[in-house]
Amino acid sequence: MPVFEQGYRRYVGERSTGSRIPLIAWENIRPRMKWWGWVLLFLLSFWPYVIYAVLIFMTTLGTSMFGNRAMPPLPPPTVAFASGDGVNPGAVLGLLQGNMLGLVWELLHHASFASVIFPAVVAAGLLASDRRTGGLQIYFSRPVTKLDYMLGKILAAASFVALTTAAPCFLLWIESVAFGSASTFTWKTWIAPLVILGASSFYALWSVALVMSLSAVMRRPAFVTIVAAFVNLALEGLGAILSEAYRDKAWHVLQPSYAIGTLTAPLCGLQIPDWISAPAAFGIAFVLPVTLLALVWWRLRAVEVST
Amino acid sequence: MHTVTVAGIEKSFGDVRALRGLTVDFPAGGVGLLGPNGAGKSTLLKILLGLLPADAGTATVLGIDVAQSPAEVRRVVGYMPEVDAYLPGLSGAESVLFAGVLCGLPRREAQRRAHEILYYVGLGEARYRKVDQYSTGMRQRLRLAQALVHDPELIFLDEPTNGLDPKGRDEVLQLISDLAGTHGKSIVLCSHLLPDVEAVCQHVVVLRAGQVATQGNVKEIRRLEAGTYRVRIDGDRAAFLAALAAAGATLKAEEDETLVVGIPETETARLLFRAATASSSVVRELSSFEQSLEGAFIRAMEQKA
Repeated sequence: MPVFEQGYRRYVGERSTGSRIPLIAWENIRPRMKWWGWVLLFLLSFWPYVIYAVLIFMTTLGTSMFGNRAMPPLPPPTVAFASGDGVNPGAVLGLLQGNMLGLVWELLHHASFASVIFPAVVAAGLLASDRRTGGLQIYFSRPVTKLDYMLGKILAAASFVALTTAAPCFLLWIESVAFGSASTFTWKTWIAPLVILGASSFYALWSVALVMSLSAVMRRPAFVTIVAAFVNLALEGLGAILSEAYRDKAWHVLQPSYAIGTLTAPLCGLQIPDWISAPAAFGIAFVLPVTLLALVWWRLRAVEVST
Repeated sequence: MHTVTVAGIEKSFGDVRALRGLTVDFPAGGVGLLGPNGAGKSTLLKILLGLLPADAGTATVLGIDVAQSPAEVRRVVGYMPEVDAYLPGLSGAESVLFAGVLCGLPRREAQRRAHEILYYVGLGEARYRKVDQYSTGMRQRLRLAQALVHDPELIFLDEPTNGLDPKGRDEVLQLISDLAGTHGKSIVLCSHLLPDVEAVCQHVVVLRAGQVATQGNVKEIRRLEAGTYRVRIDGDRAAFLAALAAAGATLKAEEDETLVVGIPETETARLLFRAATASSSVVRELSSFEQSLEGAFIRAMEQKA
């Protein structure tokens, strides 16, 4: 039997010249969604949202269903990092009633570590696998520019970050709108979706830059995951240890969660505390990841030439 | 009509000059691109695909200026890379579908063509398997399917039979011949395997040190080798060579104990036996030198060296 049992057919239809970025992003998200481990990771990274959602339930429907047994809300803080690192139910309730955007900030702050770990596990192979299996040639031998490729990969990685940041915040807002007793709540918080998108972008920038820069220099996705988690943990630990050792809270700026939180606080209507340096936070949460992405861009060119 | 026109292309990597003012035209149909390692074949392909900028010179592919519209060139050509290239986690059908949509095919059409092309290259039964589980030969066919899915006019094939068993090699060559013959595709076949080039191409371009060593029609090049023989004798070598020279034959090359001898057009191989008898030698081995492109290839390399 000849190898070409199916004849070759000419194609005379249209050919799209549109952007390849969404195609590349989707084709990098879709195969990773078939891997069921990500569901477990997702649930693990969703715990801040679960706690917040339960608290909101207790202050709304729960109070009428189970009697008035919910804890009293604390006055909503107006300064970032005022509630500490743990989840303080009183502060959450206070924020819910008095400052929805502050609540978004708190939730993002508590989800910051998951926002690195989840994409580090799921998206570690975005560049590493392409380099290991020659996938770069599949892209670059077709009408795909380096910018298309890079933005497609960033969009894919950012989508995984959004599952741990923007997605729970949107859910929380929708839940608050749905169950909120005040009819004016929605009107008062109409800007929340935009704030969520803006604040989540800073978390995405950090996580995507960290994961992609490691993925651009390593060939094994497992190494990317381990090193990304280690780097993030090391910075979080270093900032915490130094601030304790020197009894100076300014060292917290070394922690990515604090640096990003400093940048997102004004977006969420919170003041930046005077003990943290905004320029240093800008350097760590914005300049550093942008530099890492620039290195990815440069590295991508080097790889492209060598294939 | 020429599918590829290259004029004065220069490309250097540091101190290494990969292409030295290369000027060549590829006619439509099957073109074999030959040359030893480092001759500049892969660099030329990358420049033609717009993956590498040339330092100087111009190149057009199907009339499109590569430097000005590299994406447009990649939209209308197909490229099968030499080395393994696949996206892990995707099935064969998904891989070819993705290659199709990247080239601008609507998703539904790309899906339909992906299945057809996978049958065409002999992967129909394996199209739902993950490409990670494919053998080397299957991945080779997958790369060919990815190069064909968008129905390109011109296909660059870089060592398309690498890693294939003899049966698989024959099948892939049969496919490529079918594309060039029945479907009118232009093929640029980059290969070290001269029989592959002979099986598919009508025209060859031999590169050496970044320049064209020789080029021409395969039949013409083979004809140049007519009347050339490999001969090994027992006896007085000098006397045999003298007898050959007296009969009008020329010594073209010496390969250890084997002599490569060209005889006049009016003579036959009997001349060699007459020379052996005259020099009291015995012909131990005799074979025609014109059986493949190899002779022309080697000669082109020697002449340019």
